[in-house]
Amino acid sequence: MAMQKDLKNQGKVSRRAVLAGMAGAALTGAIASRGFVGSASAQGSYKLDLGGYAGPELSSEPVTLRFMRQDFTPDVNALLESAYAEFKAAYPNISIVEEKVPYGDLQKKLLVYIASGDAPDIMMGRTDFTDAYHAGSVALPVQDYLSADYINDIPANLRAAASSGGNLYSVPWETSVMMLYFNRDLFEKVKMQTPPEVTGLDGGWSDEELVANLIEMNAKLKEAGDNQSWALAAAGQGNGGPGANYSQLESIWIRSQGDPNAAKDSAAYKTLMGISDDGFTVSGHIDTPEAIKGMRFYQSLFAKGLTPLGPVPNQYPGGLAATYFGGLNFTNRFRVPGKEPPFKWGVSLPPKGNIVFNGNGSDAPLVWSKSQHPAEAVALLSYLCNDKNRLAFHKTWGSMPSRTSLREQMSVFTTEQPFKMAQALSDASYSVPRSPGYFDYFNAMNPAVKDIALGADPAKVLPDTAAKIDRLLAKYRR
Amino acid sequence: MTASSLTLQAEEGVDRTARRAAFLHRGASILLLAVVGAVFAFPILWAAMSSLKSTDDIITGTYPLSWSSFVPLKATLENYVYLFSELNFQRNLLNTLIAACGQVSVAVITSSLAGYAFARLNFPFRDVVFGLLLLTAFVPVEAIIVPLYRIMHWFGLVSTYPALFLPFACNPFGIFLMRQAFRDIPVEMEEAARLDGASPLRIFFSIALPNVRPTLATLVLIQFIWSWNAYLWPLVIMQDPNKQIAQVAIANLKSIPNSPMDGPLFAAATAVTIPLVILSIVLQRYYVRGLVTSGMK
Repeated sequence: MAMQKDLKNQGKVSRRAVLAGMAGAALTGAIASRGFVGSASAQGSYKLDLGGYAGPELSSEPVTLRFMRQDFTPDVNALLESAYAEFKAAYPNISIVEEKVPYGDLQKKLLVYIASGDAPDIMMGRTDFTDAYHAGSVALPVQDYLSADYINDIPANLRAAASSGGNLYSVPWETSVMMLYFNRDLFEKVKMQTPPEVTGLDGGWSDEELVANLIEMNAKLKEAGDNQSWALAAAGQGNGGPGANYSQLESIWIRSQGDPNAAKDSAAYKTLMGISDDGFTVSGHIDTPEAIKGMRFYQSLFAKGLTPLGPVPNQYPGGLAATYFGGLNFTNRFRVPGKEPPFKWGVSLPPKGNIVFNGNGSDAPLVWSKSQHPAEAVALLSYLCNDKNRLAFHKTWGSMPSRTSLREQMSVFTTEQPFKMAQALSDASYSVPRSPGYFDYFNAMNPAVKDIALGADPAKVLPDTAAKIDRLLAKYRR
Repeated sequence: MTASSLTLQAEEGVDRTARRAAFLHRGASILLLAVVGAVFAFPILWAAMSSLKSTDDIITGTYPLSWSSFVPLKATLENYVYLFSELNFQRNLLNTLIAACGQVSVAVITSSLAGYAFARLNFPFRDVVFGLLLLTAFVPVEAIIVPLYRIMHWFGLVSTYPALFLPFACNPFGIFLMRQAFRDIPVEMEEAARLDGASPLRIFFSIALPNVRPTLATLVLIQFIWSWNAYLWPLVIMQDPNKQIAQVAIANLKSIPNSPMDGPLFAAATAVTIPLVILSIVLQRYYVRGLVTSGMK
């Protein structure tokens, strides 16, 4: 535990580093260089492959571990159940009791459990709330239970997203990328060039090009007598439609206008960060001229009739939209024989403002700080995150792996364009604006985004929302 | 033409006009009710029809809306087969039924006893206590969910069936409903029974309860619907997936990102709606009478 103490003592410095580290690649190696590693004392002597676990040997006493997670598709559930069975066979004294919660209610239930003092040992959280888990002493710092190699296998920007105050609060599960999918058939139908299918961060459409192309697409679809298809599908994240998911989707329009290389006190830098270094002030960050400009692009999608004003389920997979913002899951889903969409498809970068922006907030299981069996809980989590289980999970579920070595073992990341581009996006991705009150932050941003989509002036809405978020975050000051 | 025949013709004319007005009034009423009924029934019927489509057909047929969005062109029962074989949804329905029956039972017992006490028994601070009790109706369950959870945990009831309904045993609305109904029973009936030597319990069971049966039916129906549709509390208190209720199971179907399960979702929504519709139709007569006699309407 000495290492944990050291890390905590470095908290003030490391917090600043973590916040600054949202500049992605700039952080590379910074945390590792501060000795962000586990002890590795017992590694290799366990009864099965516990992945990166390097903590003490597991108890031989009867132990029951509770695990709360979202429901997955039946095939993914079956994978996890089979993994539990294997774990139980190796450690018959450890029982696993699983609780599946609707995805949208995970954080609500987590909060009730924590407040009640009776939380599961392992809970599916999100890296969006890492600072809240830290500030509220919700999650167990897990770095002392994991090997150095394992921790260093997590790309630095993703590690930073899961860390706060110098501690790693979740074991890597997956990460998220947001890409621009397109319907090749519709582009062919109206004789338009498809978005550039690049493998890196260069060469995609800019904001202006995206809007111009969608306007042209819209006009040509109507000329061709197609009044059913849209240029851009309604958002499918969250409850769908505008304001569905600021963290992963709509923040692209604001934060891509920022600049990681600008001076720290510049509006461009603050626009990218989305919040002050101390995590309590957003005025001057989400209401900058850059942010307003970004939201005007976003608003034009609705004002010009390029995308529906409300949620329309499954519009893109149903073949009724030329473009769509979606994650890597779609690429994997569309490649499954028998589950291909009814059209030829392709994938490009999200629109570039000043930079190509990608938010990496994603699901992240954590161990409850008051778990009676911390070593066993981390061990189970690490086991579920070992190479075999993770590769099977990603193959079935289709999400983006959050460890470098996993991507290296999946040949598609070196051979196929969507995956290469997804990797580039992930490598350059940023965490959500860092604040213990991020829950309040995005709860205020989502309706603001919706208001803008429906016609409200961004120059009025964004400052008002910034002031509101500032008031909400004030309660987190100590 | 005599004066009497003129009078007769005039009366016939007035009758015809009145009949026509009554006919038009009745026709307009029926039309209005049919429109209102259709508006309320439409989403349920659409869900039921969609449950007979494959998920792919739902996805491709929902937008843009056309008549085929509402009608299953290739009707299939695959969603129901999947729901009741792969997902074991009947288990969730049974759990919901257990919770609903439990809640109805405890609510009927406590509400009728407490309602009778507030209506007929004299005890110190009766009206103050009743007023305080009514105040609790204005506290949303979200506000007390953490203390409720702690109490259930303290009793060792977390993830058990009783935990689904015991916190709602004391139901202010039910007590108010029953109190109003008991107050409408003539006092003379109870006085006569008392003169004949009946005890308060005997009066309650033999005189009072039989006279508030319509209100009891109302209470049963309302409690059943509340419990059947409950979501937040079962979500929080139930951890065992084998004891989870249907509403939470349905939410699980809806919440799997990027992997739509719309077909099973609509099938589950339909399956969970049918018992409520049947119960509402069966108890409709009592329900309306109960609301009228209890002064709620």
